[in-house]
Formats: sequence, structure tokens, C-alpha cells
Amino acid sequence: MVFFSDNYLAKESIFIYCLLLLGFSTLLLPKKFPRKITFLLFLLGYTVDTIYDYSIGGHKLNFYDTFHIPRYTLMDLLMYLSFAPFPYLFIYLYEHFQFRRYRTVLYTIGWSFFAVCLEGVATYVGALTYKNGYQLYYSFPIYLFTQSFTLFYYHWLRR
Amino acid sequence: MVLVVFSSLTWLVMMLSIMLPSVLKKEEKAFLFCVIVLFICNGSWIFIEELKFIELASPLANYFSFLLFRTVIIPFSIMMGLSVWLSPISFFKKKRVTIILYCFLFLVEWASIKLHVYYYQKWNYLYSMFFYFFVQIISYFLLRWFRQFTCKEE
Repeated sequence: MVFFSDNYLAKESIFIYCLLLLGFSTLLLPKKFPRKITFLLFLLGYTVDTIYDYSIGGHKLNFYDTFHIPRYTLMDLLMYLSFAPFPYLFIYLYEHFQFRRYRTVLYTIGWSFFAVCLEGVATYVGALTYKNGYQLYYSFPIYLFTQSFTLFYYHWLRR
Repeated sequence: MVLVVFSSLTWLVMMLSIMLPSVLKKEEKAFLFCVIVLFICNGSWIFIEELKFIELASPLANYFSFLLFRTVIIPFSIMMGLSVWLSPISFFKKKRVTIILYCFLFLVEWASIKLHVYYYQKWNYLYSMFFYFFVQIISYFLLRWFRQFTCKEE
């Protein structure tokens, strides 16, 4: 295992630190949900990222590497953690602007575009490296599905 | 064949989890599912890719069966086991259900080997059962923490 052999000051690592800082600063926004919902939304982000990394990012499919190496490192855990605030922010803005009906569809599509752009930046700085013919735009339907699932999860929790 | 077996088992475990009475609230179920998946995925990654204790088969059908086993069958089974541990029934019944649960997980593990989902290198059935039981124990204590965490707010 190469758990501690990363370059912690490389530009891809700094990108992850910034993402973590920005993401977790969303907790400073005025409170909208009970604490358990906030916690479960953060946990969902962390879990979904782990599942994608486990299923399409490694083992037999192996469509991408994080931080240029296919090994499990501390930076991988930080990267999963940097994705944790996104479901919270997604639902926070959804409730703040009261998106309903067809506006929910547009909002989900917009978020998926934003997520693809962010992934593009992550690829540009070297936090992600695609392999085995994977392309950036393949992620778009994955984000559409993930955001829709987040909405379903939120409504199921609040019901 | 392998995908038929594992998708049927996935359906069975999910249906049982939905239909059987549970003492867990939906927030607790969501919490447990996430926590168990995190432990199983990270643990499996370390055992398979880093330590090379287990080798995965190459065909995609076998790989998808492996994913169904690790991300749906095991988490839902452990969740059902925890639900029984927390229900107000006698210790003897809890013990009996736990033994049945681990016999089921052992059978699925055995099927994984027989249907070439993966191969053991420096691993065996007993280690797998210990790993699942360890995840169940950890999840139990984390659930207690989560109950305290949500209780404070209520």
C-alpha cells in the first residue's frame, strides 16, 4: 500500500484542498434543514463518490485514476470527502429557490453541466486521469442520474 | 448464469429488507446503508487491489455480480441483521437469526467462488465472515452514536 506517498503540495492536491474548504464552508450558510438531514446529505455525497470510484474507477472497468496512480492513498479519501458537500448544496439551493415541476428538470440539467465543468477542471489540474477510452462527456448522464437520485433521497427522507 | 443468480439474490435481499418488519427508522436505514457500503467498498479495495488477497474474474457479467454482492446484498443483509439485534426479542432468537444470516452470506460467498466471480489467493471463507461480522459490530456502535446525535436535536 502507498497510503502516505503522495505529493501533498502538487496543484491537483491544492485543487482538492480548495474544493474541501469551499464545500464545507456551505455549512456556514443559514440553517435550512434539521441536523440529521444535513449529515445524511453529506454522507450520501461521500458514499456515492466511493461507489463510483469502486465500480467504474477501479477493479475491472478502471476508467480513471486519481492523482496519476491506481493505488489507494490518503488523497483518495480526501477526494471522496471533497464531494461530500455537493448533495447538500444541491438540495440547499433547490429549497432556497423553491424549484418545482419542470424547473426541477432544468435545475438538475444545470447542475449536471456544472458538475461536468468541475470534473473538467479536476482533469485539467491532474486530479483525474481518464483511461480505457473514457471521455469527460460520458460523466454527464451519470451526474443526471446522481442528482435525480439525490432529489428522490431527500424527498424520501422528508416524507 | 452468474448474473441471473446474483441479480435474483439482490432482488430477494431487497424485498426481504422492505417487507420484513424493522425497528429502524428510515434515517437510520439510510445512515446504516451508507456506513456499511463505505466499510465494505474500502475494505474490499484494500484486500483486492492493494494486498492482492482476492483476484477478480475478468468477464463483465462476473464483475457486475461482484458489484451487486458487495454494494447491495451484503449491506442489506447486515442491515437486516442489525434490525434483529435492536428488536425487542429474546437473546436466543437474535442468536438464531444471526446464525441464519451468516449461513446465507456464507452460501453467497461460496456461490461467488463456484461461479468464478472471484478467486481466493491468500484468503478464505472464515476471513470473509470475520470481515462482515466486524462491519456489523462497527455499524452497530456507529448507529448508537447516530441515535444520540439525532436525539440531541429532537
